[in-house]
Amino acid sequence: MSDPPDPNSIPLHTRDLHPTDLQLARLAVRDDAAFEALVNRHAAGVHRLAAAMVGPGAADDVVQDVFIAVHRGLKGFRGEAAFSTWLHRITLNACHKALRGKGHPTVPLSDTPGLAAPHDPVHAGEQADLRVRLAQALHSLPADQREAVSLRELSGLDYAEIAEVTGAELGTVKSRINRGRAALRAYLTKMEITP
Amino acid sequence: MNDHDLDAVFAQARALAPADNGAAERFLVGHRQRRAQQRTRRTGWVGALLASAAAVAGLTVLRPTPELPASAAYGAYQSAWGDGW
Repeated sequence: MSDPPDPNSIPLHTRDLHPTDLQLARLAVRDDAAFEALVNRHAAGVHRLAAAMVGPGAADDVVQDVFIAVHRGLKGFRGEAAFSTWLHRITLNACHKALRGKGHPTVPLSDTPGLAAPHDPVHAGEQADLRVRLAQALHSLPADQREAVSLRELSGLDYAEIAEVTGAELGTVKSRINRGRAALRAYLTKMEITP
Repeated sequence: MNDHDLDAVFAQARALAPADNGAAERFLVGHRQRRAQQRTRRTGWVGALLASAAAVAGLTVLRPTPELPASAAYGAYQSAWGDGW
């Protein structure tokens, strides 16, 4: 009896409809369809995180930086960490880069009218505006608190996942989130921002 | 602002917007163009490389065989014994 075929050697279109991120990442090294499936699966979450960290106007640039980095790094991705962990680390790095204004022009966070994403329908304007103000508020935090709070509150990662992404201890993560949230409450109160 | 208000702000910011849902396609449009350009460039290089290889091979095969130079020994015999030794 022959061994079952290696699932990673089977072309994407002939395999199950819900391959894991790791399977897709391995296939995506040489299969454009697998890479596009990864992008389709994760781009919205990356864009959401970026929009709230650097402002909606710069979020597309972050998405582009992230997936270009992913495409280049797939050969070296061994799957030792979860794909999601790796992707969030890359996203945070891209957000830092955008906030520092390196690599591409960063729209000033105070320049609200320029920050609306071109595809936002009118009814999403309020949310885009809230993300701009949230990005300003998050920008007032130290980088480690900003990362921990954003991963928790915007990406929905649990403490252990955040610890893995940031390389910090679990207790440190909880402390950063608590301090970050307290600072955000104070900032948003001062700016009279309400939900 | 209390914790509940802050949670409400995050919930509002976290809700997926149309701009989030369109991010993949906006990226992929540019990505496909970049990949097509890469492929075109690669094809061009391969074509040029094959053409060069073909030219070198052609020159090697079709080049007329040069006349062999006379050896020193042949020259010595020739001078000592004259033509037709």
